[in-house]
Amino acid sequence: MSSPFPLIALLVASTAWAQDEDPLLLALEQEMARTMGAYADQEDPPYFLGYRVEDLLETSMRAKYGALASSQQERRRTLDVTARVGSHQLDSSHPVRGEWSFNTRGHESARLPADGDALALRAGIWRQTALEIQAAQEMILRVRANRAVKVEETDPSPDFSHEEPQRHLGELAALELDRAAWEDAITGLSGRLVADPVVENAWVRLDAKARNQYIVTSEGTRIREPRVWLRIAMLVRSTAEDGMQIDLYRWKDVHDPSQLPPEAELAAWTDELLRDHTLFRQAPKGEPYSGPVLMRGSAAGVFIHEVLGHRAEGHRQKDEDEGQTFREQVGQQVMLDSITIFDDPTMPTYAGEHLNGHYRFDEEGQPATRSVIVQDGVFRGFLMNRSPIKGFDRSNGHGRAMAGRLPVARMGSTVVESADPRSSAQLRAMLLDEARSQDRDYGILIDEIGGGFTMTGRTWPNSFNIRVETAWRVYVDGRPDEPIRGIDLVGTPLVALGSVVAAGDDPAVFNGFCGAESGSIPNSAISPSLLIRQVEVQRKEKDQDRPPLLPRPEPGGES
Amino acid sequence: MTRSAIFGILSLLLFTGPATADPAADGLRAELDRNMAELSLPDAPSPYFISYELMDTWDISVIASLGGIIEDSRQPERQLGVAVRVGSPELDNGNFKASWQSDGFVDGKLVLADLALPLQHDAWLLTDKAYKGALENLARKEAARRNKAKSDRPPDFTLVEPQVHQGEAAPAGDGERLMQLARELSAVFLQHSGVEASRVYGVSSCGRRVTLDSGGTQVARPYRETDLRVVASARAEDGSTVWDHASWTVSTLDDLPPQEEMLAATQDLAQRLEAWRELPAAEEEYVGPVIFEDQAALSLFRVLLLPYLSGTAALEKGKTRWGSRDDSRPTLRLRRRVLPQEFHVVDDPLADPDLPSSYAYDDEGQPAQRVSLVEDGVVRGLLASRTPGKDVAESNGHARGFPGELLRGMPSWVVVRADAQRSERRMSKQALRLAQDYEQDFVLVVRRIGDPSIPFGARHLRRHRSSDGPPEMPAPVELLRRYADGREEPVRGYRFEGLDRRALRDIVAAGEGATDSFLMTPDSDPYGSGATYGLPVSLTAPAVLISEVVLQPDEGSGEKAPLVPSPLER
Repeated sequence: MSSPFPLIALLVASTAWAQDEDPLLLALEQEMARTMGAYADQEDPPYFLGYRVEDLLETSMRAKYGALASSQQERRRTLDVTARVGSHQLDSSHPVRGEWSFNTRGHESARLPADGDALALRAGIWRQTALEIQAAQEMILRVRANRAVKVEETDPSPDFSHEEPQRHLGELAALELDRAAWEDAITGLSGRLVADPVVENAWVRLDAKARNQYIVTSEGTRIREPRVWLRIAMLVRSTAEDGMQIDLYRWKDVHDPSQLPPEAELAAWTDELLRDHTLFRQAPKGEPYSGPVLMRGSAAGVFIHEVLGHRAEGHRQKDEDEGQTFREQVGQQVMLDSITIFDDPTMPTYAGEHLNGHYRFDEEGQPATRSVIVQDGVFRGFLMNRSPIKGFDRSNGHGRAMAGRLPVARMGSTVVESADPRSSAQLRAMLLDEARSQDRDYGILIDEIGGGFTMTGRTWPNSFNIRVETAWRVYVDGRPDEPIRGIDLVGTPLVALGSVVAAGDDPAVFNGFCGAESGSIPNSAISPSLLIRQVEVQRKEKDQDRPPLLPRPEPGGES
Repeated sequence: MTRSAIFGILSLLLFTGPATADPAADGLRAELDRNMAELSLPDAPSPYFISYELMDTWDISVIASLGGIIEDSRQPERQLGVAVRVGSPELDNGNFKASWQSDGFVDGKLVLADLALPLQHDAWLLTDKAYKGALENLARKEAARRNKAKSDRPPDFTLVEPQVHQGEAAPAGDGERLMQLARELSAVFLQHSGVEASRVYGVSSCGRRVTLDSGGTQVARPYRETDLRVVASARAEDGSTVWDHASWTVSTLDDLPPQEEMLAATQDLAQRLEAWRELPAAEEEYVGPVIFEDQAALSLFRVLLLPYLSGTAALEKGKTRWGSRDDSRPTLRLRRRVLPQEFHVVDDPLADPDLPSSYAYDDEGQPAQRVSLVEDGVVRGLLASRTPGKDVAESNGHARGFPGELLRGMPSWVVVRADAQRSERRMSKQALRLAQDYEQDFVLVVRRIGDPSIPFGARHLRRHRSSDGPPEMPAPVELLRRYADGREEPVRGYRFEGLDRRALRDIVAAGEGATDSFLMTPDSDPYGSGATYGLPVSLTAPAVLISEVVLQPDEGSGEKAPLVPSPLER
């Protein structure tokens, strides 16, 4: 395989475009001015109008079994218009109680031309603006009536915060990959993944996005921010005799093509994946268990993301359907006093690792800030967008959304730090001590996880689920560690956080995407290993199909 | 690497080589034969029939608005549909659905390179999945029938003589050309501020399809469909909205009309919409004779006749925990009257090879046949696939659809013909005589009906998809009152009430005929697959006079026009 890497270049315009030379920015400003002027003397005019445009160039290629399966590139511009009618205190975005309260209520985005006449852009903006203002004018009547007939709300905070306008025009980013070279590269790698005849399905893919996000508001905010993201990923899959699907996935996210792993490293990934796949395919199934668990760094980061992070998202604290776990816990000890947790989207890297959760301005045009959630074990604050809550009346730059959705408070890069870090050997010894004290034959060590989810509302149990990929039993009697497969970690947030008894000295980064009501957004979770005194393990959901009945086709027709 | 470079490599792989050197088809044939010989489970029947449907295409999709490009996608696609049948032709797993689970018909994306082993790898997994699904679906079907008092279902499948044919692939379209065309057509609306919204959708999918089955059939044939559609809307002062379109469904980009002609049609569409805004709105119900001319006559037969011509048995649906549901589309039965005595209908995929609907072999690899559907107004034939219906036992080469589905009989080129053809003047005179019975001194003439594939009330001009169930007759978008003295008064704002298939029997006169082609979603896949979400169908039909039609004033949404004028009003 020839190395594709010298041929890849990230193209960044050498000079920033002046504001008045960017036709998209100009069109947004023209329509903004025309609209606000026309509505000035109307009944229920918009007091706030916001435009957000994602101008995206997306490349995706996938190879399997040593052959290219797809390769495509797409450019698209998506416009989201936010129109608020009423006042900062009570506006058209206010939840109408007794109705479906999902934030995306009534919101629709529009596709804009990626080129052509400026009038085409303006006509697209104009049409969508009219629709959103009409919808907001209808909503404010329902909001006022709803408020009149329902009981007083628990949190009477305003619907929208007052913030300073922001101005930042970043350089325009673009992405140019040598697609042919990368097609060759992933094709070769995908061939290596089927070296083991038990592998049923395996693929390698490369995804890359260059995004320029524009934000223009009636308050005077003007933002143009570039972002480049690439992921190289591979998956190996087979079916165990008992029908359980064995999936092993490995990936790396970077912000510059030159930072993708070199060829030799990617080839080594395929070997490691196949080795682990064999190991865990033959491993015994995990059993339901309640006891001590040691989570290595990236798994621990996802644990904190699911257990604490989503519950620290500010807008949930005034939604009457939410569990509001920490609303009354500000200033109270919620976990081990050596632990501090904050969310800091301003960091592009952590210990040399690129962070998915990095951004400078959120989707409401507010500057990202480092926001402390837990300080020395005490709950200190929430991640805020422009939806104030009792005691927190300003945004801290965490209003996030994917194109097509309206922003809510979301995590960026969530970091767990310990003032009392323990070595790996110490944590292992503590795991075994905990297992002995709980009269267990073993403790569980979690290495890799595939992700997780949590339910923060009141309708369903307020709980979390972490999908484990690779885990081990660590026996108290000194037997060798034993790999196990097919388990998930489950639990409830306050118990789980209170069960964290120690943290390691080995912070690790988990880069991923998080889905919630404002869509799928990039996140990072950084944490050292965490020892948890007691967590429940449940059997993973499994397919019931037998493995393929015939052997895999082999060269020359011999199976 | 640029798109054109990718295309160059792909076209080399897909479209060259003599008929005997077909590594993709040969590799799939080897895997099909291996599965047919070896696939089995203890205490379960082996497959009695396996088929593979390979679809190799180069797909282009463009959306343009006001001279700008909103979407531009050009990519190779290689899809494999696998059908596994267990049981016997009398009773097998096909044509039955009780849940979302696999029924033995599956599909998946294949690798793009002509490398036998990677292609076989996917075929292996898909065939395994289809076989397991087929066994379970047969059991579900038998269980559903166990306690039924009677079942008059026809057999599930027919065995046929194998067909072998090696046709050429259709060359890929020029994406740049389609993009430029869409751009220029959409730019027409820059000069028409009275048009509220507009889009141009262009799709082209060209390549080949290969059908292989365990009965020995191996048919490779070209696949080509191209659809260019200009859609636009306008809003009148009273808030009512109208959607209209200009569209061209052809085989390849080369078959599109000259660009000037399409520009003129787009210009005409824009002017028509602007003029529509100024028309008086209908205020009272109309009951009486209606003349359907030009495009409206074609739409009438497209909506009221074409969806009911399939002879394939309706999908049998099993019980679920929520009960059983049968929302399948009713089809015509033999020997029933569907049109007046002087009407005749045929479908012939072979009659005009230049039409996009033309084919020599259907999607089950069976030779296309001319079918006489209606003679003297009575149904005499239906369009059949290898899955029989109550009235049709054998395929007549009309199985059409996308890989991974049970294929049903579907139209290709339907020609509706009347024995006597009246001039426009004579038909108007006859209509006005009928109108006297309703105390009207005019007759309504419908010239254009909205595109049935554009959802009613669409606000944002997304790419259209047809919904499940029988299509509804869209509202007329161009109609007028015609008086005895020849005066014509255009009017807007009517919708049809209760206009269904039975109205065809109330046709009292036929005029000049017209032909058009369009995309139709197959019954087997109502949400549409493939690059174009449909298959090309052609229709020739005369203008007609129906003795009584009811039209009601359309209230519409009545939404106000935007407060801020369009930026196009410079």
